[in-house]
Amino acid sequence: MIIIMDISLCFAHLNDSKCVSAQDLNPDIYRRVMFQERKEVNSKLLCSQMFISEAFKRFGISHQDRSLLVVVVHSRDDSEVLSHIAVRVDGQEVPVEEFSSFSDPAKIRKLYKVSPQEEESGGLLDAVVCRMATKDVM
Amino acid sequence: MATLQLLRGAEMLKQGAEGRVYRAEFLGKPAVIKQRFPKRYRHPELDEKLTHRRTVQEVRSIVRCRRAGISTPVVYFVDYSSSCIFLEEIVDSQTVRDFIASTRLSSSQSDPELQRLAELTGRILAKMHDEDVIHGDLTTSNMLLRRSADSSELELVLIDFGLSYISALAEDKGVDLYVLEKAFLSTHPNTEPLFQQLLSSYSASSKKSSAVIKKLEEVRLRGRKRSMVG
Repeated sequence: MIIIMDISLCFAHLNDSKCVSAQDLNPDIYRRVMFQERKEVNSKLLCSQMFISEAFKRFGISHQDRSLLVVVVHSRDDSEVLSHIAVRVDGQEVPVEEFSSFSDPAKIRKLYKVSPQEEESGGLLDAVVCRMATKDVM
Repeated sequence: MATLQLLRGAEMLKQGAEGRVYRAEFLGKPAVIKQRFPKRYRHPELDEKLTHRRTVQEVRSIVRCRRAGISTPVVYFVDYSSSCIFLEEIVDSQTVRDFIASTRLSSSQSDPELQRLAELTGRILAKMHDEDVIHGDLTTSNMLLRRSADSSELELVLIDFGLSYISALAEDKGVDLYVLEKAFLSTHPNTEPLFQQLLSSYSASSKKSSAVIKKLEEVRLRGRKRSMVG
């Protein structure tokens, strides 16, 4: 998952069948915002890492995708961004709570290599959150 | 800096030699934050490397255990620059220590619940050692019991991997069990049969157990917490 920031807007596109729920995005967003705060990234891109092309490969969009998740990281007072995005996407907005109905557990299991025993003991969401939190050292 | 800001608003639970433990909410969830603070008595470069290595070892051990299906707190976030680990706070649980203590008040050692606990614990520790994870601080206070929502089945959750590391050596696994044995028998007097059951369950659950038990016996003869390696 990547969050791309260009100078005026801040949004990203994801194939959301690979996300379990809205919750599992939060830790990763937090991590990336932290990098930005610390200026560990030396360009205007919030996440300009080597993994961009890989991220797109794993998560990217194809023409067959029927649902799209857009993650917006913006400062509290900047709500214009949302209307910018709504204009660019041809579709119907759906509440975040319904997110899970779009996710595809089989794809998630395969992508994150979640073992059946792990899923059984802790659940798929926890498995994914753990991986996101620890990917730097595993 | 975000993490330190969060810590300022958090409730400190305890402080040990290694670091501090806080409780706070992280993205809406009850969380525990383990911070390893810099040790000024160490050379700064060395301190940084050591602290970082221990943080990484703790996180790796937790993830390895989870992969094998062992219940541990979920890792929410790791801030390597401040050596803070944000973990799930396990709620609605009881330490194994309290469970054993309270069960023994009302019944004997042969209580079926205690037997089940011993069997379960032995099995899970075997699984952990088969993953080559050494906990490093096995005590009955570092194991939590939770009843799963759907059934009344007991779930054992291992916590506090602060001293844990990865090792395939039977010696290290033997010492790990020895640490538990000492802690177990001193915290819960006269429970040798119960602990023996734990060990039997361990032996039955792991193919590599005979080497480990042999080492445990050797360590018992040597004395406390002595690893003769390194």
